[in-house]
Amino acid sequence: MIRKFPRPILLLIAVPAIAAAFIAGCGSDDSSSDSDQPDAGLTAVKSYLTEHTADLVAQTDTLKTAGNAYYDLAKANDFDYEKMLKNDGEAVNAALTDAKNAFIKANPAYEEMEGIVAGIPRTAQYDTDIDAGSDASDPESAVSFNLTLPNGEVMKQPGNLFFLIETALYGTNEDLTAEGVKPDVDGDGKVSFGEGLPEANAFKASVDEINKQAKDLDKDAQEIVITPSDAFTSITVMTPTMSEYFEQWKLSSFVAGEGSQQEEGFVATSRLSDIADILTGIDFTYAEIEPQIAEKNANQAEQTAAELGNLLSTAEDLRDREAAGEKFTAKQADQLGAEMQAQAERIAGQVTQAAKDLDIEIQEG
Amino acid sequence: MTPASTISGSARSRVIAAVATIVAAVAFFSAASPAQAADPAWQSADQITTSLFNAQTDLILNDPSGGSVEEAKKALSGPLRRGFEASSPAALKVVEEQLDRANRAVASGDSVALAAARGTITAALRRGAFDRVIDLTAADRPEAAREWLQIRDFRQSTRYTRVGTEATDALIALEDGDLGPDDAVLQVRKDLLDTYQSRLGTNLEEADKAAERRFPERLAESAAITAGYWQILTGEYEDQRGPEAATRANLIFENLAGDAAAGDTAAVRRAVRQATRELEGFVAAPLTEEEKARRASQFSRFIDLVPVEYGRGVADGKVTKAFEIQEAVAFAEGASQALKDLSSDLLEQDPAGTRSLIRDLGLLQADLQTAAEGGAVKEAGEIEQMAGDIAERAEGMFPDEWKASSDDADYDLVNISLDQMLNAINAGEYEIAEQNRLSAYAFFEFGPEIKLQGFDPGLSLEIEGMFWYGARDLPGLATLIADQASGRETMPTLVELRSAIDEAHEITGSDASPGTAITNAALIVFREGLEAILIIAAITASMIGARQVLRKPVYRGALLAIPASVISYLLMVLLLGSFAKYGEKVEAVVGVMAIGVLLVVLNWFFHKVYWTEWIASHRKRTKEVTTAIAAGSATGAATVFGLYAVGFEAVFREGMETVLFLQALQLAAGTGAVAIGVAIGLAAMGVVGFLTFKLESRLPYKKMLIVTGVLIALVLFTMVGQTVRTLQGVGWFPIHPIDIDIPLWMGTWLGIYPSVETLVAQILSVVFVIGSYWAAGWYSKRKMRIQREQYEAEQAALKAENPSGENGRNGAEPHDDAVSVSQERTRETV
Repeated sequence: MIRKFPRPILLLIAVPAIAAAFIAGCGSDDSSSDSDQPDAGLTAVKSYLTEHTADLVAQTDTLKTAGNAYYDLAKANDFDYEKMLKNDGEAVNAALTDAKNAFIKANPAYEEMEGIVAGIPRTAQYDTDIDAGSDASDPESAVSFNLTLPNGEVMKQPGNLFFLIETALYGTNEDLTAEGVKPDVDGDGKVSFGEGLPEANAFKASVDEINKQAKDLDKDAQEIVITPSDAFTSITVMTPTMSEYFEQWKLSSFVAGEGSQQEEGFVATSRLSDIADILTGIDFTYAEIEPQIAEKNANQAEQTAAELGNLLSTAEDLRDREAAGEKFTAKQADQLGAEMQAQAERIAGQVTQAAKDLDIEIQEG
Repeated sequence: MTPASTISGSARSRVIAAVATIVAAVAFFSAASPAQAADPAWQSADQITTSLFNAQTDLILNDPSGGSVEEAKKALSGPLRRGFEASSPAALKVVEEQLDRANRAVASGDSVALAAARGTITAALRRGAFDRVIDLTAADRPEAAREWLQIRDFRQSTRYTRVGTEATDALIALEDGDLGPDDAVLQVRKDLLDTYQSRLGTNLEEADKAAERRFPERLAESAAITAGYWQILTGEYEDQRGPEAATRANLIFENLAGDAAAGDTAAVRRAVRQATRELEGFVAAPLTEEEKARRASQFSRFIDLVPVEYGRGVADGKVTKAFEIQEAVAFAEGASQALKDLSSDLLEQDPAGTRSLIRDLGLLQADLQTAAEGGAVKEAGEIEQMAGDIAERAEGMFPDEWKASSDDADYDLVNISLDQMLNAINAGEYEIAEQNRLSAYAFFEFGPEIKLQGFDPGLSLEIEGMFWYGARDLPGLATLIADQASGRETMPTLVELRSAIDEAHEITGSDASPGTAITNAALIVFREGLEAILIIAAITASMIGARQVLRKPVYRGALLAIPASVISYLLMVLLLGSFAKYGEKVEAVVGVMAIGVLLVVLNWFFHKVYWTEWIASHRKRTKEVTTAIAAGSATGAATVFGLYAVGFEAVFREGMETVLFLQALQLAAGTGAVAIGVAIGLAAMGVVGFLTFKLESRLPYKKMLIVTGVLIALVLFTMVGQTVRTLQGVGWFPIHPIDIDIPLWMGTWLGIYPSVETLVAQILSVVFVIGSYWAAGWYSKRKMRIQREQYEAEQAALKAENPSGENGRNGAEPHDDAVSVSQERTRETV
C-alpha cells in the first residue's frame, strides 16, 4: 500500500530538490548537446579512409592466410626449418611469396591513409601499432600490444607490425628469422638479398595481429565522424615528419645499398614511396578543408595549397625516378630531406594559423 | 645500377612546368589588367625560394634543365619589392646581390655557392617581411600585415612546444579592435623573435652536423640561414648586451657563413661553439613573468620526477624497467629545456651558480643516458641525491614570483601526467598508470578546477567524470585502467579529456564577464549553502518545545564555521604556501570527521528523540515529563558540544571550497561583481532556508520526524559517497570501478559513483541508519518493558500490601501504551 504524503511534506522535499535542480541546470554547460546533432563530418575524407581500411583488411587477410600456411608447414616439420625446406620447399616458397605480395599491397594501402590515421588522435594508436611505433625501449613511442606466440612465449611491446613482418619476410632481422638455416627460399642454390625464412611462431602471431588490428581500424573508421578539427590536426601532426622519413630512406638499402643498410625495415618498398603515399593522403585531406580556410583568408589557403602541391609533386618525382632505376646518394637524400622538412614545417605552421583564424581546435595527441 | 652522376632530368619537368605556368599566368594578367598586375608579396617570395630550390635540385641531381634563377629574379618585383624598399632596403640589397651570386653559381655549377646564396636569400626575405609586418602593424593596417606575415618561418613543434600563433592572434585582435597597434607590435615581435631565435638554434645544430658529416651544400645553406636570422636578432642582442657584445657576435656569425661556404668544416665547428657560448642565456623575446613561473614550475616538477622514475626502473645496479629509465631521461630533458629558458635571468642574478646548475644537470642527464643505453647504472639513491641537490639549488635561486603556482603550469602538469599514464598503459604497467592518473587529477582538482568551477561548473563536472567513471558517453580513465584497457581503447577518452582540458584552459585563461561572475558567484554560494541548510534543518526540526534550546548550539556552530572557513583558508595559504597542495587531503579529513559527527547525531536522534518522542506522544500524561527528561539529558556538556560540531561541520565542510571558488572569480572579474553574486546567492539561500524551516514547522510532528530522519540519512548517504571518492582521489582508498552507467548529476547531488568502495560504503551507511533505527526501537521498547515490569512488580507489591486495589487502573496503562506504540509503528511501517 502506498501512503499519500501530506502536502507540507512534499513541499519540504520539493523546495530543496527544485532549488538543486535549478542550480544544476544553471551551472551545467551542456556541451554534449552539440555532439548530439547528427553531423556527417568531412565525408570525402571519411570515404577515402574507409576505402583504404577495407583494402588493408583484404590484404592482411591474404597475409594472414599465407602466414598461417607457413606456420603449419613449420609445425608439420617440428619447426626444423632445414627439414621444412627440404620436404616442403615449394610450398614454403609459395606461402612466403604470397605473404610478400600481400605485404607489398598492404603497405601502400596503409601509407596512403597514414596521414589521416596517425594525424587524428582518436585513431593514432593504430599508426603506432601498425606502422610507426617502436619497441619497449622507447616508451614515448612504443606500441601498445604484446604478441603471444603459439608456443606460449610473449613478446612484450615488440615494435610495429609492418616492421616485424617485413624484416622477418625479407630476412633483415635475425631475431625474427629461423636460426642457423640458410634461407634459400626459392631453392636456386644461393641466398639473395630479401630472401628470409621467418621464425614461424613470431610470424604467425604478427600476421594474426595485423589482421586483427586492420579489422578493428576498419570498424572504427566506419563509425568515426571526421571533423574539421581532425583534418587540421592530422595535417599539422603528420606533415612535419618528413625529415624522419628521409633519414630512414637515407639509411635504407635503397640509398645505402643492399647489405650496407643501417635500417632493417623498408626493404620491400622504398620509404620514398611511403612519403609520396602519405603526402597524397594529406593533400586529399587539405583539399576538403581548403574552402573553409579560403573563406576566411584566401591568400593563406592559396599559399598552403601551392606549397603542399609542390611538396607532393617533388616527392612523387623522386619516387618515380627511383622506381625508374635512379640511385640517390646519402648527400642528395640529406639535402632533399632538409628542404622538404622545411617546407613541411611551414605548411604545418600555416595550417596552425588558419585553424586559429577559424577557431578550430588542434587536438593534443 | 644507375650511377648518381647520370641521373636524367626529365622528371623535374612537373615542378618546373607548375612554376612556369604561374609565371606565365602572372605575365598574362599583368598585361591584361594593371590593377591586378602584381602577385602578393608572399607569392613572389615563395616563387623566389621555390625557383632557387629547383635550381639547386638541378645541380644536386645533375639536371641540365636550368633557368630557375632567372625566374627568381623576375619574381623580385611588385609589392614584394615595394614593401622591401619601404621597410627593409638592406634586406632587399642582400636579396639582389645573392640572386646574382646564385646566377654565377649555376653558371659555374657550384652547388655549394648556390646553397649559400639560397640560404642567405631565404633569411633576407624573412627579415624584410619581419620589418614590413612590424611597420604595417604599427600603422594599424592588420590586413596588409597579415599578408606579409605569410612570409615567415615557424618554430619547430615538440612535445613541449607548439607552433606559436601569437602574431596571428595579435593581428586578428588589431583587426577586431581588441588590441591597439602598439600592443599588437609587441606581440607580433615577440612571436617572430622567438621563432627566429629558435630557428637560429636548429640551423646552427644542422650546420654543425653537416660539418661533421661533410655535406658541403647542407652546411653552406644552414650556416647562411643562421647568419641571416642573426640579422633579425642582432638589434635585440645589442639592446640587451651592448654594442661591444653585438659586434663580437656579428663577427662570429659572419665568419660562420664564410667558413661554411668555403667548406672549412673545422672553422665552422669552432664558430658554432663560439656562437653557442656567445648566445648563452640570451632570450630575444624575453619571457613574461607568467611564462617564467610556468617554466620554473615545469623545471621543479620535471627534476622531482627524475629520481622517482629512475628509482622504479633500477634494482641492484641493473635496469629492471627500461621504460622507467626512458621516462627519467625525458624528464631530465624537459628540466634542461626549462632551465635553458630561464637561464638568461638566472645568469644575471648568479652567473657562477647558474653555470654550475646547468653543468650538474648535464652530468645527471649523461648518467641517465648511459643507463638507458645499457652502460653503467648508478644507484637510485645517488640519482636521487643529484636531482635533489639540483632542485634545492634551483629553488634557492628562483625568485618568489616564479614559485607561485600558475594555471599554465598546472595544465602542463596535468598533460604531462596524462602522457605518463598513457605510456604506462602501453607498457602494461597499470599500477603506475593509476598513480599517474591520480597525479593528473590532483593537479587539476586543486589547481585549475577551482577556477573552472567559478567559470563553467558543467565543464568541470565533465572533466572530473572523464578522469573517473565516465562522461560524454565515454568510459572514465579510472574505469579503463581498472579494466586494464589498452592504449587504443583509452585513446577516445583521453582525446576528449584533453580537448575538454584545453577548453578549460582557454576559459580560465580569460577574464570573466561581470554577468558570468555574478551568476556563478550566486550559484556557488547557493549550491554550497544548500547542503548546509538541509543538514541544519533536518537536525533542528525535532527541536521544538522544551528542546528548542538545543537549536542554539547548532546555529552558533554554523555561524562560527563562516569565519573559521576564511581563517583556515588564509592560514593554509600563509603557513603552507599553497592551499591547493593540501586542499584535497584536508577535504578528505574534514569529510571523514563530518561523517563521524553525522553518525553520532543520527544515533542520538533515533535514541533520544525519535523513539522517546514517539513513545512519549502515546503517553499523554507523561509526555511533558519525558520530554523534559530527554531535554535535560540532551543538554549535557557532551551533547551541546556535539550539536556545535554538527552546525560547524555542516558549514565548514563547504566553506573553504566556497572561499576558494569565490577567490578565483574575484581575481578574474573583480570584487564588485562577485559581491553582487554573493548577495544574490545568499538571498536565494535565505528564501529556500526560510521556506524549508517554515514548512518544517507546519508539519505534523510525527510526519516531520519521518522527514527529518530521511533527510539526515540522505545527507549521510551523500556525504559518505563523496568522502570515499575524495579518499580515492588522494590515494588513501583503493578503486574498483563497476561497469554501470551512472549519470554525472547523481555523483554531484547524491554522491553515487560506480565504484565498489563508494557504493559499499553507502550501503553500509544505509545499513547503519536502518540498524540504528531498529536498535533504538528495540532499546526503547526494552526499556519500556523493563519499566512496565518494574511498574507491574511495584503495583503487585502495592496490591499485596493494599488488597483494596485503590490504584488498580494505573497497572494497565503502560501495557496499553506499549501495545498502542507497537500497533501504530506497524501501521507506519506498512
